[in-house]
Amino acid sequence: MDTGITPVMNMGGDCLGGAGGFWIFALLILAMMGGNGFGGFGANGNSNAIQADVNRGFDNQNLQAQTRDILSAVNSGTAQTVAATNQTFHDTLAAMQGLYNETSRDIAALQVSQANAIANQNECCCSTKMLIQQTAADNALLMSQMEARINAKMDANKIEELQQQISQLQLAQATSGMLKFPNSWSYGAGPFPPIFNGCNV
Amino acid sequence: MNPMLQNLSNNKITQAISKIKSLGNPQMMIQSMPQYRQVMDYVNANGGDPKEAFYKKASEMGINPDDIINQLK
Repeated sequence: MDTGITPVMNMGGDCLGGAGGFWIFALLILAMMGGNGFGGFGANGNSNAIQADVNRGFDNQNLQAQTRDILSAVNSGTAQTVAATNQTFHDTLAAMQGLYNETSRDIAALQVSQANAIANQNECCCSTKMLIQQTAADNALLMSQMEARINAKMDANKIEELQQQISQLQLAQATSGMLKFPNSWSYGAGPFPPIFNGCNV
Repeated sequence: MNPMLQNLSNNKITQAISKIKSLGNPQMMIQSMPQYRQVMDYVNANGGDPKEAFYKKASEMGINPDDIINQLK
C-alpha cells in the first residue's frame, strides 16, 4: 500500500474471500459511482442488467432527493410567501387603521371647530340683534325725550305769554275806569288831581 | 479532481465511507452490499488481484484511482 493512506480494513489479508479488503472496497466505491463505463463488472451475463438497475436506483434516489428538495423549497417558498403576504396584509390593515383613526380625529376636530364657529356666529348674531334693539330703544327714548322737551319748551313759552296776556287783561280790567296816576309828571300839565269843571270824580 | 467524481455525489460516498468506518464489523457490511458479488466476479474474471482490478476498472471508467484512494484515507 502507498505511504500516507490509512485503509479502512486489512489490505492484504484474506478477510474478503482472498482479496485485499481495501481494494475490494475501492472497487465497491467504483461500483457505487456507476456510470456508462461500469458495465464490465461481473463474469456472468447479468452484470450489465444488475448495474443498470443499480444506476437507475441511484438515479431514482437522486430524483427523489431532488424532488424532495424542490418540494421543500416550494413549501418553504410558499410558506415565506404566505407569511410575507400575511405580514403585508397586517401592515396594510394597521396602516389603514392608523389613517382611519387619524381621519376620525381630524373629523372630530373639524366638528368641534365647526361647532365653536357656529356658537361664535350665533353669539355674534345675538349680540348684534341685542345692540340693534338697544339702539332702537335708545333712539326711541331719545326721540321721546326730545319731543317732550320741545313740547315742554313750546308749552312753557305759550303759557308764559298767555299768563302775561292774562295779567295785562286783569290789570286792564282792574284799572278800567280808574284815574290813573301818572308815573311821571310833565311841566304844565295842570294841577293834580285834575279838576274837571269843579266836579271831583 | 476528476469531473466525474465531482458530479457523482462525493458526499454520499463520503457518508458511506464514514458509515463503514463507524461499524464494528465493516467486512460484513461490505459483503452485504449488493455490488459485492459483481465486484468479486469482476476481480476473479481479471486475474484475481483486487488492486490490479481496481486500477483497470478506474482506467476503464476514466477515473483517477488516486481520487478514490484519497477518499478512503
